[in-house]
Amino acid sequence: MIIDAHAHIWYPPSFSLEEFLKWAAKLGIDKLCVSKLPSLRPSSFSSFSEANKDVAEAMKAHPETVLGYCYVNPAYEEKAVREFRKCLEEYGMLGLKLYTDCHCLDPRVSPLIELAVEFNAPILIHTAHIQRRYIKGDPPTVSNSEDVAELARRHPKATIIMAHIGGGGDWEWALKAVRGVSNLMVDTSGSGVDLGMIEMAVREVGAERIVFGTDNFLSSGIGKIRGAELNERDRELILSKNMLRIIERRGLP
Amino acid sequence: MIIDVNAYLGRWPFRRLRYNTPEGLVRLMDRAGISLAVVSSSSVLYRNSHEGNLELAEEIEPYRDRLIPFAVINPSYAGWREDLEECVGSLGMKGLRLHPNYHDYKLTDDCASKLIREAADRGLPISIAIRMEDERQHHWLVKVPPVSIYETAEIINRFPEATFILAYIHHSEAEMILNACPERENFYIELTSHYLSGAYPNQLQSLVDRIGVERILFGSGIPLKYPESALMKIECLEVSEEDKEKILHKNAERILSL
Repeated sequence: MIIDAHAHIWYPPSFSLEEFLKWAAKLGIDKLCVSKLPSLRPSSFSSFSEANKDVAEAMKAHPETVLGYCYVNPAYEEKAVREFRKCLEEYGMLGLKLYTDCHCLDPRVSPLIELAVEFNAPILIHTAHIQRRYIKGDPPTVSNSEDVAELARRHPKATIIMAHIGGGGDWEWALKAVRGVSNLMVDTSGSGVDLGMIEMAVREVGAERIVFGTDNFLSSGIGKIRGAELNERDRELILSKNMLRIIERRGLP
Repeated sequence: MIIDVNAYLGRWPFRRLRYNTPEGLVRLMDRAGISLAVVSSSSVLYRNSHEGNLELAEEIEPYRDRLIPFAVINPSYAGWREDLEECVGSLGMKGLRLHPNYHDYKLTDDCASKLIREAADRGLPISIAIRMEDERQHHWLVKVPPVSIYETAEIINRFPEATFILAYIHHSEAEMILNACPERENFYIELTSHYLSGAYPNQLQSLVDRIGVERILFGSGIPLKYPESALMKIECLEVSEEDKEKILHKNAERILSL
């Protein structure tokens, strides 16, 4: 079994959900945890609530395959929290996806994390794998690996997933930055396929804290796991068992 | 049969590599089912790049049946003609590998034109490494931009008699080249790039639909990259087995006169 912990549905006509799921199935991916990012970010309330509706529809159309992450801009404070609650209670979503609308240590993020803890819902956070002093082009609201690790330390009951170790940047630094933070998972997604990346992740953070993901780079995502030298136990943990545990804790089938 | 046209051996100053010895590389190739690899020196930060060629030739001697060496020539550096002669004449190198970005010259410079003309006269394919790794992870002191796509297109147009392999080229860059050189058939697209996906969207399929399987060469960037990721792109391609064979080895055999 293979679960993609980090995928997206996107905007037609360049993107077709059915075509995407067909390819995922061909590559042996059984379930995908998806979010939809509003096209303009920082995002407006109407754009992220619309995006969440689309995710809910995708879940309804493909209940066996698609799990959803709610997307909000934490700057909307109470309204964002209400939207997240709606996604959990009404749409039955798995968790929360945060991007660069707000820095992850912004106090406005905390109520969302608390709600996630209440529902045993994971929080997937877009992460830049680069030291703060070298972040130049990105918005100041981008969170890096150290920031996400700090967030996980401040909320020890939360399950936080640091996005895409293959998403560009210094993945060696990123892995070292999150060592020993037991409630912080890392996902394998992103376009990067540097040989040794997955093995180092296992060595530095442990297979129990790694979840498979693609960030929609389906073929290279599968390719790097196929190429990684892992024992069967670790491979299973990464490809499905760790994420299954998270899904079960959330109370979803 | 699989031929990888984008492999490296040598120093890589920015991170510890595995499989970066001739024995290791061959072991990695065996794991991935790769029979032959075109290999050049990764020691691109040597000021005198020819030392990398000498190192490579010496190291791969016992593995000549698996590793096909390409010469890294820097045409802006003293003595390149003699270096080229030595690489081809004495060391048995089968093509050129250019790193204009690491060696700080432009493909459209006079010195590069002279080298390209020389390579074309000798029938040597010219592999241009558009990049060696993802720019997003470059060392803070060594940020090397990719090779200019405009200049690459310019030399493709200017030297129809030369054969170019565009290694580690992103899908969007390949499209730019195709638009800039629609009538040229003297260049090949190689598959290492992390932004040339197999599925989904299947960017490789769209390239194949546009220029045909004859112009695509399998390459994976070993040992810097997992070879399985590039192989997956071929697996996802909806073409006949015969066409896959062309990408996996037949096109390379033709270019390398194997």
